[in-house]
Amino acid sequence: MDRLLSELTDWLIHNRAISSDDKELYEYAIYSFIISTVPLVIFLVISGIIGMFPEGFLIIMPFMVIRKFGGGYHAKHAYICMIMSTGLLAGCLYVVSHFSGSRLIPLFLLVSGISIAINSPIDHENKRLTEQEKMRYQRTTIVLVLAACFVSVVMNVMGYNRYSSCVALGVILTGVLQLPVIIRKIMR
Amino acid sequence: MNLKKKVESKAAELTARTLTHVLRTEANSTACFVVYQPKAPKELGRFRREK
Repeated sequence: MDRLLSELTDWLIHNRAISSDDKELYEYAIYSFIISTVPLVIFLVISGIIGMFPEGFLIIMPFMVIRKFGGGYHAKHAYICMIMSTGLLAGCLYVVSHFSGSRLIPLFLLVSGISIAINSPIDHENKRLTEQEKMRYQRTTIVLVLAACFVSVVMNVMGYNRYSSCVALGVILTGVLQLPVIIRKIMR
Repeated sequence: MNLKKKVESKAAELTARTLTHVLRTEANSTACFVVYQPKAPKELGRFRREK
């Protein structure tokens, strides 16, 4: 992986697309792009293969956007992340196909939504936030959670229970992935 | 400059532009959406909207 990053940035420098001083910065950009895109593509392909592409898309969209600002638990190694991200999202597809009408989903959505609004943003030691950023991202997260809840409720009212559950699961998953950090904070 | 060189240079420019967009997004959000956060370089601050 390191060799690939280095070769790609060298190619960009060679073609004068970036300055050689920015090598580390663009290696970070390529790495972030790859680790974000690979699980997303794998998950959407799996969803498509099992005939649940719209469900997969509706789970990953709120999850991706809310987690980007809300933050949460992060694994220590990239390969654990790849397996965990894909596994968790696939687990959501299983829940949708078996429990999409369950009354527990709106309840979990409410609890997760409140928890995310209170505890976000959760930053990581590899990328610390300033107080100003924390305030801004908390506001953004609250707006995004409210928007996702609204979409889920509207879909439910319109009779699209399955799709409503997908959006709800995207929010619930974000809340669940904040739990380990919240628990660790309380235990300290 | 021959055609191959021109195409390569355009491709590099487009890649760099996409990656700059990635950096801007990364600098103005809390974390990666996946379950791993690579160590952010200090220079990432250059891409923050609020300095």
